[in-house]
Amino acid sequence: MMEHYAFFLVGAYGMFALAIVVEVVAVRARLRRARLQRGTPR
Amino acid sequence: MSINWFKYASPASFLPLSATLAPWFLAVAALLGAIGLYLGLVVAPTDATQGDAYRIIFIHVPTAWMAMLIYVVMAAWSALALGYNTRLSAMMAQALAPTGAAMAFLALWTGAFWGRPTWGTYWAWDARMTSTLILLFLYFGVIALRSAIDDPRRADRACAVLSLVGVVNVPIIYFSVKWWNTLHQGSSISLTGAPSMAMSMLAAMLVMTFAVWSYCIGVVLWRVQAIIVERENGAAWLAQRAPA
Amino acid sequence: MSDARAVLPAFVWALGRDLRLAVRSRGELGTEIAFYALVVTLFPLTLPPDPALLDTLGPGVLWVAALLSSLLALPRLFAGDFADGTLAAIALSPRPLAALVSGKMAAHWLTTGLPVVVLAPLFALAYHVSATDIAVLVAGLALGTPILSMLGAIGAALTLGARGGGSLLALLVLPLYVPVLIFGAGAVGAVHAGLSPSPHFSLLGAGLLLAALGTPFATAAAVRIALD
Repeated sequence: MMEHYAFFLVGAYGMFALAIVVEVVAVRARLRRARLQRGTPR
Repeated sequence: MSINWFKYASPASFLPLSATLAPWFLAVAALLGAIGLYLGLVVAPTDATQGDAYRIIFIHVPTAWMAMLIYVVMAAWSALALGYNTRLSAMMAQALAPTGAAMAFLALWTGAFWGRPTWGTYWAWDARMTSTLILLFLYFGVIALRSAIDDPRRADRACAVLSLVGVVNVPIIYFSVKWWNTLHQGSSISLTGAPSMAMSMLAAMLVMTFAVWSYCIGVVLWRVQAIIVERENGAAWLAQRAPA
Repeated sequence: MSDARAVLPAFVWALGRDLRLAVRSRGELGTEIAFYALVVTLFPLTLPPDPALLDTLGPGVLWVAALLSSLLALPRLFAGDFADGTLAAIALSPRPLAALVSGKMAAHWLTTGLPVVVLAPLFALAYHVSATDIAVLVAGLALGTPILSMLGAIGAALTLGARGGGSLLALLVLPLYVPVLIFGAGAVGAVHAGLSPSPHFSLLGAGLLLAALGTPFATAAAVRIALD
């Protein structure tokens, strides 16, 4: 199992990177949407 | 000169502050992250017992730490929100929950991917991982409660009470799960074994911890901007403000 | 402002009222007990009928079933009164809300927890659990089910008027139930292994005291938030 450590490293670091990307994209979209909806009745 | 602690206590004054601060924290996070990953993946030596798979600790430990820390900080803001009845304190608590949940999820995921190559299993019901799983449920609870209550101020207060009840329970839950786990230690795998640390490993871990910490602060300050704009929709100060 | 001497009468009044209401809907109580029996019955159907296996799993199953039964009965605590405005009237009372809420919690335990404690030995026998283990199980349930009622009340109050129904309540409350489950089931496990259950009981007792001191106020705060 130890020999295939690359799979586990990629799996762990990959999810780490993915989570950051998803969170950043989501927050950016949320802020953009909020700014667009400023002044419009909710 | 006395500090006016309440200067930034209104959403109106905090919005520009967070807009200024957030990018800095994210930049620091990126820089520290690059250094930390270099130290962890290139400089730190291969471990004698765990090979190269141990390098997952450089993201597992920071995310696990942040999952716990964010919950406590969220509870602190919740206490302020209930005590001072301030909107912004509640907004900060609201902004923290999703990042805390993400950190808890990452702690579980990286822990599983560390466990499989080193101890042969993705999941063993050990104390820390089980407590982190319950912590993830606690985060889900706060997030779910917020979306289930329509009135934002009522949701603020309900989530604040829930967070405070949760923060009292987190040490109790951790203690009880640890208790349960140590009783059954004989038949289960111990996942407490981090490799004995070389200096470079320790340095990498520390740098990554600060990197993830800075990232969390940055992304939370970013999210709180969105929350402020969402919730202050229709307020005069926001309408007059030039789009940032 | 609330008077300290008003605490006991408030508690007794709320307890009596909720018990009277519960007695009037006896059918509802019956179905809750039937739920407990059903859950307990389901597990052995998934396993080979090996007495040793059932003996090992039994206490845990009985505990989880107790948690679920407590959970199932929680909406009844406040929802009815909330819907017809009685809860608002109760909150306006000069009596301390924490005391009134405690009376409701006690009624919840008497109608949900106590039947579980009483019925558990019956089902434990069906799981081939030994007599000493049963005694420890019942003692643990007796200490633990009140804690479940008290913690659950906070969740019930927080979710008043919120969408999401029972699953939201379960999500909020079940993590809080975990320590009670661990120490209660752990006590039986300890005795089963020949060790003493007293540390478990001490912790459950401490939890009971802590819950009794803290949960009424947290619940009262949650009720006031819901009524705003």
